[in-house]
Amino acid sequence: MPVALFFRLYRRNFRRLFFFSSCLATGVAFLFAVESVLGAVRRSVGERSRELLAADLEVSSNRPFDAAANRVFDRFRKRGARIVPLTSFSSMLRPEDFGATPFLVSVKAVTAEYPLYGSLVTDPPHAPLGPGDCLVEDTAARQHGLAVGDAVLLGDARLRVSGLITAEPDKSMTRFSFAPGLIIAREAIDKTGLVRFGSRIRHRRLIALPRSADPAAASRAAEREIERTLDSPYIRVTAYADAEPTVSRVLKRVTGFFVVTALITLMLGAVGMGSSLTLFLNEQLPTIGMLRCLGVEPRAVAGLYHALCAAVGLQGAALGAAGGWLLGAVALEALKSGLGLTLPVELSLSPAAAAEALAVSTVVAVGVPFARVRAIAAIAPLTILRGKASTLPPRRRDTAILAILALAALYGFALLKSNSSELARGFAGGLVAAAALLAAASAAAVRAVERFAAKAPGLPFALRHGLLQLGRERARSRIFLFTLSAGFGLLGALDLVRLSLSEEILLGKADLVPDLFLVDIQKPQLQGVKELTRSFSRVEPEFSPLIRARLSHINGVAVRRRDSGAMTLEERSRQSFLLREYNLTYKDRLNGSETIVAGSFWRPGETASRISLEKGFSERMKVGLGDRLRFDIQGRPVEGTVDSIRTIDWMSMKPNFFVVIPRAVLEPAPQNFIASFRLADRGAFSDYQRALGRHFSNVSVIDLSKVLDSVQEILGTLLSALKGVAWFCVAVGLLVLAGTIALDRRARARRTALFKALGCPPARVAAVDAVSFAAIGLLTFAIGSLTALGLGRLIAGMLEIGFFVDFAAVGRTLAAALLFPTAVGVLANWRAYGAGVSKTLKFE
Amino acid sequence: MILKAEALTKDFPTPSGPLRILDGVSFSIDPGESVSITGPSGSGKSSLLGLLAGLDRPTSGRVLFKETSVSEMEETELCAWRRTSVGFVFQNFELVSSLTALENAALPLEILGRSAKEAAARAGEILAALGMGARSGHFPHELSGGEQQRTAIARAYIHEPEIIFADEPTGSLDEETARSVVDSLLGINRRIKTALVLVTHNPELARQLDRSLTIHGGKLA
Ligand SMILES: Nc1ncnc2c1ncn2[C@@H]1O[C@H](COP(=O)(O)OP(=O)(O)OP(=O)(O)O)[C@@H](O)[C@H]1O
Ligand SMILES: [Mg+2]
Repeated sequence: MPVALFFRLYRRNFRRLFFFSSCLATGVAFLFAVESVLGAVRRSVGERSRELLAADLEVSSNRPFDAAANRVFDRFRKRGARIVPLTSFSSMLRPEDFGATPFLVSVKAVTAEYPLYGSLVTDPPHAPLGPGDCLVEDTAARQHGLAVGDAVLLGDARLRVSGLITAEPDKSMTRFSFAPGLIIAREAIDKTGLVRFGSRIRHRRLIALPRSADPAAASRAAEREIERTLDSPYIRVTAYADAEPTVSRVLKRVTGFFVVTALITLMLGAVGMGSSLTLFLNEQLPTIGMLRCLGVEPRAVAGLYHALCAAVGLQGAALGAAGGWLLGAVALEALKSGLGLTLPVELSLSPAAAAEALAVSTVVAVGVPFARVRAIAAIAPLTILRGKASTLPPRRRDTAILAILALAALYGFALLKSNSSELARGFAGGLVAAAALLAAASAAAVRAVERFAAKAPGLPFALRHGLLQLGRERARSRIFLFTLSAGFGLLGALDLVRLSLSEEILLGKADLVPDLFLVDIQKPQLQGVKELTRSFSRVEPEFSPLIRARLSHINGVAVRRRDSGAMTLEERSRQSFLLREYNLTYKDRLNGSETIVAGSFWRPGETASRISLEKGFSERMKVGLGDRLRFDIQGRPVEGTVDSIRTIDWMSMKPNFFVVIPRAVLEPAPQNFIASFRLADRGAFSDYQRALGRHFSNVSVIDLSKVLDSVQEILGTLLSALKGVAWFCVAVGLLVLAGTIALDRRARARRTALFKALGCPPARVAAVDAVSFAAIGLLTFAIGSLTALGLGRLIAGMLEIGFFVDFAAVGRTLAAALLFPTAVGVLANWRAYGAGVSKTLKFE
Repeated sequence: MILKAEALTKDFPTPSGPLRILDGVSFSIDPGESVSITGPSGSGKSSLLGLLAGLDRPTSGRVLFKETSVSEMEETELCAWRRTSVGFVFQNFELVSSLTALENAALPLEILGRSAKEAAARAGEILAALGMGARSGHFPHELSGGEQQRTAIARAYIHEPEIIFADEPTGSLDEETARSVVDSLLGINRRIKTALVLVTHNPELARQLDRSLTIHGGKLA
């Protein structure tokens, strides 16, 4: 009999149960769509990052690779990897033209397979690169008056300029060399006679791994494998996923944002479903009372309704999986055509994903109304039949158990999705706390309205009865208020986080970010270069002194190369880090991109020897406030105490330094200058270059505009995706909320009919409802705004985004909350206002 | 004459063609007169009451209130008419669950535009007269059936309408309670002098009214 009953109940309430399922399904669908699209975006961005390195992986060393290294390369080759040797070094390039000034170039010797990703663009296109040829970076060629066909001398070799380089894939923004680039064929190295024992050479191997589903993970795994096998401090391995810190950092946050958004949509669905299911169960009370009187056991009744909830869950999973697949396909198509993602992305509905949909959906559908269904089982049938139980307050113990289970489930799920226990803990804890606060605030607000309305008989009819309705129909009002504030609060929070993220990505200020850099400015040239550059630049060019130094002592202990045999990998990497050459600068004022996070920065005019370190740098060095460092600047020691730690916003593209020392201390040291700026008019670039070359021929210009453009493009793609996702979430949220409000319309139709029978004109009944919903809207606005700010801050904190409070944005999102309940509530009841009284309320 | 039914017929559409449930019903009621309608179940009593009260429209024929045709009134006119001249008592009370007994009873006066304070004062008096003084602050779900129906009676009379329609007002109550509710109803009716049309199965109750109509198969017997 329960089985037959189940099917009868299911059929009779099919439409409403279907609505509950769709609430869940939207969340589930979104989660899966986000996952598939996210995968595609990540792969696409990965592809772009690979171009910045021209490989999946780069292994470089300042010594020739030994037998062990070659064995490792062979191993990778056997697995299907492609490996290209590169050799880089710096040298002077002399135009053969008598009287021309030689200039420093950064030489790269390549084979025909170079580059593995991206492409080398030359002018003329596909310029040949034979043993007697070379390619010169176009800016440098222009600056020094070199043209295709000219002869140049590099070491002992006489080479012909066969083309100019306009784009070079691995001129990555983080590890650019200061000198302009020159590309020669690998066979030409010997002729130059420059590669000898003792010369500063970087031997490099670019590796392209075989195609895999997750290239970023594959490249990291390969990175670890090589580091583990090659036990040498001279070798540095870079995976493309780490090569471009800005993009990968932003991508990590964006990924986090997407996951949080998906979870929020799922929760909106769960909240909507939970509220509507509660209203549904209240409506089911007469049926339940009847069943109990007919002798159906409490446990069977509870089982019946648990089963109904499970059916809702299963239905939601099926709908969600199908919808998610469709949504993902559509979104990907949009991304591909609209944003130019070039990637053969295959969408698949894996069994694992389907199982996950099933689990999530069913757990939510059964879990959320669990306590209420249990309360049904316990209630005395007579209470129901006499109409004394209009709502079912769940038992406290059940609610508590459920809250704990929800916390665990949320935590587990967030952990699974984000792979970060910290993120998961913050998310789960914050949400449960927010839910508790919201419930309390909703209850308090409803109680306050009731008190006010009951004690103010002077109010106009519609106002008085609207507020009374809100205050007295406590259970229903609380559910509405909770659902709406949670929903709108989440949407507001999402919007705030999105804005903060956009702000952080700095897309809006992109045209003020410097993209040209000057290096090797000598002290006597400083004034002249400044004046020349200022007349061309859009932003005030920033000049920074650069002093090369080595670290000689930490707290009095000499930094020396030790035998690396007994060292852990970490110790070895620290040692090679400490032994490298540092670029120091001096200044007495921070630039806009720096923030002191510990200690304090000195005042202008400081003469004491103090040191300010970048945060990440100090961590790698294992040096903190109060430690003493001694640097060796061309034989002269400079010792100082670390007394501040800074963070740097690298996206600002300002010249920044890990180590800063007061001006008075370093000013006498041997130094040159670097500068960053942006041309007011891009077209004036060659004029500028010619002017610079004429007066300051040793100064090189580095043009990062192309790299920056490509980064901006990637970030732009992500931002538009973010916006789309946020809007989707808003749409889903509004639909779910509308459904919840509309669900209450049977009860309201009856009440409307009664008021009309008593002679109240329909317009006034509508006014009563409108007041009641407008008040809910107003309270939602208030509670929801606070929720948005709180949750926004929480989510931003978890994603490590600087939280940027935009009250106007909160107001914009929540303004919808003001009108939305009224519009939906009145529209949903529209037919009842017009319908004849006897339709609903008749003499029996 | 305050209310007059003229050749009322009512058909309901069914899959097998229209079903006639009222067939040429005519009668009239004088001011202050109380009339019972009795008849077997399914004979059309409730349907007739619905037509008389303007809750439904006849297929043919008409209902006159004084000189106006209720059956031809616009919805707004009907509302105004019910607001000023009509009171209802339903079998299942139909109280607003979120209002107290006092607020429920005061509702028609508030709808008429009287101040809530004045309405509450009047509702207090009438509830006290019905023996409900101590319960006036309670919500419907805190009241017994008899108490709920007394509240509904107070609501029907509070604006002193010219005619009251009641469909089996004691149908949901036990005999004892029913009797006391009927006493309340008739007592207040006598005092306020309102015409009353009351559907009932209870012959004893029917006998207490001025006149009794019996309906059978959609026709007056
Ligand atoms: N909307 C409707 N559609 C079809 N038939 C209807 C409708 N309303 C009432 N009827 C039928 O009209 C007949 C009269 O119904 P009505 O409710 O007036 O009877 P009644 O005399 O009040 O009965 P009871 O004493 O049981 O309340 C019944 O046979 C009923 O089935
Ligand atoms: Mg009837």
